[in-house]
Amino acid sequence: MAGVEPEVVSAVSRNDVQVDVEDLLKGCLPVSEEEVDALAPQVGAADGLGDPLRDGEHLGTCCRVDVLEALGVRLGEHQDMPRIDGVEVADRQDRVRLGDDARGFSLRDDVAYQAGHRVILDPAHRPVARLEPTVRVCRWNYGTSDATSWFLVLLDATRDHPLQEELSAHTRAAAGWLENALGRGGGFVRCGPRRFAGGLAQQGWRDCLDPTGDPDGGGIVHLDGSMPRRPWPTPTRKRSPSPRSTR
Amino acid sequence: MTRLDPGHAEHWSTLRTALRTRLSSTFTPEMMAVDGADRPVAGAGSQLGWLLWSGALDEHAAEAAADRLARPDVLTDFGVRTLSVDHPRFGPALYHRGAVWPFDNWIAWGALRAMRRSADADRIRTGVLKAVRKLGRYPELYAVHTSGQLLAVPVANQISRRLVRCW
Repeated sequence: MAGVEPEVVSAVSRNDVQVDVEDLLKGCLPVSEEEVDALAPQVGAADGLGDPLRDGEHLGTCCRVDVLEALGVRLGEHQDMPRIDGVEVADRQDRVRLGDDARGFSLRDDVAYQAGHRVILDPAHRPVARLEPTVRVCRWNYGTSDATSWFLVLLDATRDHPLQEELSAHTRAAAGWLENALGRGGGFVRCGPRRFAGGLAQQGWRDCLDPTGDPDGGGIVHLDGSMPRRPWPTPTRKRSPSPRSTR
Repeated sequence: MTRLDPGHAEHWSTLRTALRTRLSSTFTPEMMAVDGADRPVAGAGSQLGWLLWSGALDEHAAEAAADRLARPDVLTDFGVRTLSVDHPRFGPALYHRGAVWPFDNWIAWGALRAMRRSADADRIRTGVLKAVRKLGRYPELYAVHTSGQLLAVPVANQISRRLVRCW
């Protein structure tokens, strides 16, 4: 209702930090229209305006290479490792602990592309090492109903083709996990605790368990207020009713 | 995936078509979710924006979802509710049953812009910006009373002991 001042209905907690809203709006909201377009798979293509996923640089601030690499390591079978003077570096943390030559590198600024390869730069922006794909089998290869999809969406939206090539094994692993999950779920990727009793029943944003008797809860319920049945999808685990899911 | 893995584009395109058909036939605009027993969970709300943004629906289903998203029981002057006021379990400040989440709204905004529904998209954008300015902060969520009044709400994870189960 325009013109009505907001009423504070109760005390506010952790995120209630007073800020300069106008300043906040400049930096954080709602990114730019171009960035939103870049993330929306279908925008622009319908009326011949071009494919924003391929045109221009849109995601420099909202979709960092480091995030995708971190996701990719968890999702894929192979990991690209940097080599410095021919010696493979164990991981990115080790890379920044290498010594004086590496000090001052930030994970954000120390990587660049040269001739199609990702290289580590020293503080003077001189290349000191090249990231070369090596075959390392990662023992962990799992997916989630939300993060796995997001990894693919964000990686595509970067339009960073060298990075996409670098993470191609992760991409195939992530997509393969989703395809298998679709098959296991009868056409849906189903979320659930599976083999870990403490896991989330709902692994998306709306991850709120909401017992029927909780009038202040905010989770998804049926029209009659009963709680939707949780997914216990695994064929390898005996279905055991939870005290909070038996209605 | 057709872009990320062009060598297998036909395979991924076939899978996309199958998934889109399944989602379009399952998720009507009045559905919030499918539970673990494949039982529909009724409720129109901001989930429609996610379905549209992801391109998960075919054209006919997408138009119906966009129409539903823009109805006043879901789209308020301060943004999109997580659940329609017509749902019997609606509450304007309830976490996923009526509150308005700014980040959630940007998904719906992007979706409607992509569909060239500029007027509805702009209602979302200006509504959220107006709410944020009135509240004086950028909250996790806020409430819009059925009267249309904007209400600040506590961060759900912190205040109510009954909400600690909301992760």
